[in-house]
Amino acid sequence: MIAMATGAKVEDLTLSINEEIRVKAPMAATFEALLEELGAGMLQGDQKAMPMKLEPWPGGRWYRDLGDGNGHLWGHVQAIKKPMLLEIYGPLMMSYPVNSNVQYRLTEEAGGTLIKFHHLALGMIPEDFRKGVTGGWGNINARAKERAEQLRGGNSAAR
Amino acid sequence: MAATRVEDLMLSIREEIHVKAPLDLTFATLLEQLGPLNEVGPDRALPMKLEPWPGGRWYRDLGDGNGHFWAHVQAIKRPTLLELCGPLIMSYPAISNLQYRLSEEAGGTLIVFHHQALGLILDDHRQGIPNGWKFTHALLKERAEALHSAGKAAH
Repeated sequence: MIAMATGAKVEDLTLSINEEIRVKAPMAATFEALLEELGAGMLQGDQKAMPMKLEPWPGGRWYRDLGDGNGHLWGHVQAIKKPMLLEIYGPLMMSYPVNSNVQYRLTEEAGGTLIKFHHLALGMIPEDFRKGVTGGWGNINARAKERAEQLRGGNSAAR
Repeated sequence: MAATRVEDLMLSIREEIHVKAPLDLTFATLLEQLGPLNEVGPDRALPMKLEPWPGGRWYRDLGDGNGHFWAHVQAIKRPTLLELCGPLIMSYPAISNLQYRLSEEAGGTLIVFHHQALGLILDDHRQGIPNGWKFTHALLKERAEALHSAGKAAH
């Protein structure tokens, strides 16, 4: 049972996280790195591997595959326009009645790519989750940036 | 965020459509109208794909793995029920349930349509969506009746 205050206001049911990530890599490489980071490259907070599968098409699943038909569904791809937009909706890791919309919008900027990240959720969101989720996204997005910049560095070095 | 009351989080749209065409033909036309023949305004085609099975996707296919996902088929019982659930066009936390319940009535088919949504629904959507459905359903009715008339004329 999730502890929710009686007479909760709409604000108590919502969560909104915005972040801007500046990546020194082209859009295509950044988008590729993002898919990789949210997919096979995903790490837990303690840096242990937690590979996910992200099916990069409309309605595709974002899920943890535990094998033999077991796993955790985090969301479905709501919109994808490579390499500008990735939008996901679903419960994410919340095992309570919550619906999230997660958006990654990429644009070119001088020296690389700007990612505008937005996570908006509505539902019965426990306080401890509310506190932890911002840092969780921050880590994921920082690793996506690092991965993209390495990828670009690797490509440059290969030329 | 505009919503401050729980009522502001909800949307409910009902419509009854009387179609002068048989049940089977009306259902088939409904699938086509929501799918490849979808239009969002006069001469504004927006072809969609609707996979007509439980869990099938309703989505805009932009090719090369790109597109917009609107919903999954929650229930389908040909030719009496089509139910969809998903975010539809809403790029924010909102979930919709759409129901088309078809039954025979004198002279044709009655479609009872119901769209219910819960979420942080934008005012623009709240105001525009009812007209969008009316437009879609008028096309559906017109097409089903035209197909029925054409079928009768051929016999």
